Parts: sequence; structure tokens; C-alpha cells
Amino acid sequence: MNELKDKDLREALSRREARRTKPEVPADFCNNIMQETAPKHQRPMIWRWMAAAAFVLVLIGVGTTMIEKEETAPVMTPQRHQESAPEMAQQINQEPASEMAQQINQELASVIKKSAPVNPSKPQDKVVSQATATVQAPRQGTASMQSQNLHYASMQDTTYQDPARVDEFIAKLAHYNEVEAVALDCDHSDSTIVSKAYVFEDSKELDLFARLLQVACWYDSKTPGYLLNFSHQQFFFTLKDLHRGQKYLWMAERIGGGRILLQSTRSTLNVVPSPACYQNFREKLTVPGNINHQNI
Amino acid sequence: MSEIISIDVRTQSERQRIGRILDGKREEYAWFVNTYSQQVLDFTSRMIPDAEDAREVAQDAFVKAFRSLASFEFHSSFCTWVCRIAYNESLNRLRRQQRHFVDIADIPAEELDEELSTGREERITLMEEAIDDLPPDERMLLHLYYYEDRPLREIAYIMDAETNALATRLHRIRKKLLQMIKQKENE
Repeated sequence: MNELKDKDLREALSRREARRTKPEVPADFCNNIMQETAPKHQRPMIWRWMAAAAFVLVLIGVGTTMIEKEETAPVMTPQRHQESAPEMAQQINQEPASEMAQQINQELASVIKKSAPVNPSKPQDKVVSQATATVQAPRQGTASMQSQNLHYASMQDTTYQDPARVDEFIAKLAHYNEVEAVALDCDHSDSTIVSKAYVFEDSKELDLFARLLQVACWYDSKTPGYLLNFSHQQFFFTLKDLHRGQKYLWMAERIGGGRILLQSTRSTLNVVPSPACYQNFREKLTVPGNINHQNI
Repeated sequence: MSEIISIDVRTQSERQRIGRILDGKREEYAWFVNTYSQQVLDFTSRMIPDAEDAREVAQDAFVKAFRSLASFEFHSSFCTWVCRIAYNESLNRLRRQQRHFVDIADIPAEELDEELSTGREERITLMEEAIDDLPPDERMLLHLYYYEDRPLREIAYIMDAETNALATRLHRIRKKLLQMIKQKENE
């Protein structure tokens, strides 16, 4: 019994309760609620699709005008690259590569597959092909938006977003950009932690930070474990799935050399994943003289 | 002990059901409505005198709970959580109603304890009348504390208030009740 006795008060409340007739639950009570909670498909779907279509049209419009500007403006970017290319090539050849750096380069070469349509043999050709690739990229990007539905929010018409869908989105994005996921296996004994790293190109066409932010915005800030923090340099996002007992962490960072390192970690709620693996992997990528610095 | 275990098992099964609802099995929610509708309706009808309004508020509380199911963090049972929503909904509905103000005199705690535990028949009858005159939220606080014997921290969760503030409020309501009874005695 609660601390306050107040016998008169308790007695009065008991008598009131005895006199009181309990309300009856109407027969249609449950049906009404289930009808109210039924997803309303028609109108929201139409508006959603119209908004998506308008967004795609705006993107195409902006992309086209930008391409036209680049083509008509007397920008000498490719030529400038060509002129400076021999000097760069000389620099690359002159730099002494240590054995360790070479080892790391070999490991990372298998990790990071860049989407280069031409496989140039000379460093000079590499620079030229990259310069032309930047002009072609927006067209490819627009086509991909239409063919592959990267914007996962349009997939399902529910208010609840499954946190695992961020991983699905990242996997699709990586697949399209030919970026391989590297499994970071720090906690060997703990199979409940799944950690992956991706190295994306930090390009305007891909605009990874903007895409990640867009994904984060589809989650209600009341979602359990919701924590979003970002700057120009870093992106940090966490969520929890209390029903599956999982927590998620996504961390992206501009690591220089025109690259963004993205880490995705999923673990059970009570586990604290070790950051050591990520740090090691990051250090490997930022070693001076690394071939990946030179390639991009 | 067995009660604690049965509550724990029920919470586990509720957790699983909610998981399935969030995975798209919306029809599972009917189980929650059927299990707790009587309790929630009983709760809202204490706050709202009109039966139709009370039914609507209970219904709204269930709908609101369904829409916020993903944010439910199991700090309480599902039923307590819906009662919390129902309480806020009821207050919103009653917002326009006028409150009954009573001038509260300063009464020492010991005197108050004695005055509210006389055991006299006429006092209990007057107390019943005084309770009827209280605003619904104050009546609900008395009901949860004295009749249902819920701990203050649980009532604080339902009423979305601090435990200390609630204790102070309870003390004020007791003083107010005594004042109202004394007024009735003098009439």
C-alpha cells in the first residue's frame, strides 16, 4: 500500500468505485481502430510519385544546363592536365616506394575498384581519361537514377523505416560505383558484430555525404537510438532496432586524396564494438605515398 | 514472485507481437486493442464524464499508440503506455473546461493526516461529494494513488510529471479536499 493512509479518502474512493458502472466496450471498437490504422494508399502514393518525378526532372534539368555550360565555356581543364601530366608522371616515378607501402598498395588495390572505363597504361593517359570521365559522369549518374531505384524511401509505403535499409542502400550504392565492401573483423570472438568499410570517390556526381544525409532524413528523430551528427568533414549516424535487439552505426569521413571512407557497423545492443580495426584500416589508407593517393 | 515472472513473460510476448506489427503484420494490433480496450476505456471514462467522448478518446489513444509504436521503448507495459497517451488526450479534450478554484489554507501535515482519517460516516459521505467536485486530472491522481495503489513514479510516467512535483500536488489536493469538506460542513 502507498505511504499515505487517509482512511476516509480511501473509503470514499472505494464507495465511488462500487457505485460506478463500468463502461462497456462497444462491439465496433476494435474494428474502428483497425480501420483508422489501415495504411491510406491512394493519395500519399500519388503525391510521393509526383514529388519523385519532379525531383528527377529538376536533377536532369540542372545536369543538362551544367553540361552545356561545361561544353561551351572555354575551360582548358583537360589540356591543362595534359600539360602537367608528364611532370606528375616524373614525380610518381621518382618517389621511392618502401616495401611496406607496396604491400599495402597491393592489398588496397584489390579493395578499391574504381569505375574507370579505360585502363590506361601510362600515367599521362590516366590523367586525361579521368578528366574526360568527369564530364561524362553526370549523364551516367542520371541514367542510373532512372534504372536503379537508389532512393530506397520510395520502395515501401510505411511510416516505420527499418534501420537495416540504410545498409541495403549503401550496398546498392557501392555496387553501382564498383566499390567493394571490406569486412573489418576486429572482434574475432564476437560473431554478433558485423562491420564493413567502403572507400568511395569524393565526387560531386556521387555526392555521398548528401545521399547519406538524405537517407538519415527518412528516419524519424524519435526512432530509438537516433543520433545524427555531420560536418563538411564527417558524417555520423546511429539507430537502434529494439525488436531485433540490434544497433547500427554509420560513419563517413573525408580522408583526403579525393576519397571518403564509410564504415557500417551492426551489433547486438549490449555489445560495444572495438574501434581499433577501423582506425587501422583508416591509417593504411592515409599512409603517405600510397598508390591510391596518386591514382585519384 | 510468480506475478513478477508472469508480467515479464507477458512483456516478452508483447515485445514479440510489436516486432511483428512493425514488420508489417498490422492485424496483430487487434490483440492489443481487444486485451486492453476495457482498461483504457475505464481510464478515459474517469477523466471524461461523457461516455461517447470517453470512447472516442480511448480510440484515439490506441490509434496514436499504433502510429508511434516504433518509438515505444518498453519503459513500461504497453497498457501503461497507452494510458499515458489516453491521459494526455483526455486533458486536451478537457482543456476548455473551467477549473474549480478553492482557496487553500495552510494546514500542518499531522493535522491533515488526522482530518483525512476520522472514520466518521458523514465525513466519508462529504468526501465522496468533494471528490466529485474535483477536476478530472486531480480525481485521476487520487484514484491511481489511493485506489489502484500505483507507485508515484508510475503515476508520474502516466501523467508526464516529476515524482516530486506529483507528491506536492497530491499534498495540495488533500488540503483542498479538507477545505472543501469543511466548507460543506459549515453550509
